[in-house]
Amino acid sequence: MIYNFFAVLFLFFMLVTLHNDIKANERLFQSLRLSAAVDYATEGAFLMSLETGDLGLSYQDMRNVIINPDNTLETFKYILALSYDMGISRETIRMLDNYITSAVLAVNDGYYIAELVEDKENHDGSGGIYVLKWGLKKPYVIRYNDSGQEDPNGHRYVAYSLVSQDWVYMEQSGNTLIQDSGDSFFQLREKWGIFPSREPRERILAKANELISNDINFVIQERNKMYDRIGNRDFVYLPSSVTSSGINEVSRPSLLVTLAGVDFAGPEKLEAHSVGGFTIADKVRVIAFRENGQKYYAYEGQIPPNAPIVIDRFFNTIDEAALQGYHPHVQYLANPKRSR
Amino acid sequence: MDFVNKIVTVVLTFIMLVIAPITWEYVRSEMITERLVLNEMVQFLDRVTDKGTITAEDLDDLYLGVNSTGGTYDVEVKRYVRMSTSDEFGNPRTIYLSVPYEGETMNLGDIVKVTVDDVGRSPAKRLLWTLLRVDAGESRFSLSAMVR
Repeated sequence: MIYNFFAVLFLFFMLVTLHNDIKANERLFQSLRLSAAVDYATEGAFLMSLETGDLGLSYQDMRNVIINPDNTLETFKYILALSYDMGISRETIRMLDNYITSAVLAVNDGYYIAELVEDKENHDGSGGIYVLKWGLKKPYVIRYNDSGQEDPNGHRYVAYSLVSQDWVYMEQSGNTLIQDSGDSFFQLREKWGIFPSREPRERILAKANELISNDINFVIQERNKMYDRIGNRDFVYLPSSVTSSGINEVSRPSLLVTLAGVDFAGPEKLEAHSVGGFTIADKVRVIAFRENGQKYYAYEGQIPPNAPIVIDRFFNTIDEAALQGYHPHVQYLANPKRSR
Repeated sequence: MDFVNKIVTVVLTFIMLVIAPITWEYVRSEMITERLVLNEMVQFLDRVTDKGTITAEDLDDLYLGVNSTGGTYDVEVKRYVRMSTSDEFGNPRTIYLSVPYEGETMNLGDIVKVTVDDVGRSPAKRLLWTLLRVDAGESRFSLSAMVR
């Protein structure tokens, strides 16, 4: 009798352990899946942000890349939604805003941080709807004092670029604002007596990473307060150089996205972080044309050579074409844009 | 009374020594299978988004890889092209349209989506259903990536 009692007790322990084991495995799988989905979404979003570039330009050489944050967040959310079999509707996209605690798009001469702003476009008068949008571009600024020494309270500001020696100088003395710019550190020293440091590139990267991490952490704290999530759990740290554990600093245009409290991915809440920054391909324009009197759009190179069409004009994005009353040409849009 | 106790002991021994380890092992292997399938999907997506084409070999590779993990899976690959239309208020509205990919070169910005659907009933599921009447439901998951 007493032995049976012990046996039942052991059986109970075993069931509890099995249950925990299943839960741990499930959690591991779901977080792997979420991180794969977020990585792909970040990569896609970064690709969509590239405004222009040359064919064959590599990630190593991103000096002259122009990045436009317009479609980045939307693309991120679309790919994430597709990965989780959600319909792409305005509601889904807005719902996904709740999980993105912070997003940073670092470009050569500054960075954007995603902020919650009131959506005026679709305001129906029933109160503000908040959506995630990119804020103003913030420069990588170091402050100096009168003798050209770095000083957090100095009144001379120099904005640097991540990859080139470009600089913008600002000084406020009294009510006048002095502004100057140049493209080499030598000029900066000659004109204003400021030199970043013995290792200017390292100092600028360190400052840029410090600025970005401070801002990300501020945004995360604010968002956590808003959703009553507790404390420093989502603290992000960016080193100023590659660490021995292999964490990379932000030294080139990249996109950082942090997700927290993700509850659509499984029974438990998950978190995910991803940084993207990838090879650049060329940007293809959109052609607006008329076929049989109907207005259509397609990308450059997609229209067959002998197609009976009349070309109206060119656009940079398909959104612009759609707003001008052109419809997607379902057949041509599936053709290759350019031979690879 | 003693006899009843003996019967209970035998039943408990059977549960603890035979049924429990089998269930445990089945559930564990199923979890590992899921991770292997995810790995196959990631490999496939990396390859085709790099190349920009989906060939018959790529698909065979994916089907074989996914089904050699032990489960019975239905695999579906789709290619979506981004299109923009304007809605009734004049705002741009983005839609993704599924288009054929056989023998086509995909463009930068197209999205490839792989969906894996567990159509078979795995041993773990069958056992859990027979013993405990627990059904975790259909396991189905997708992953999508953008052509680079």
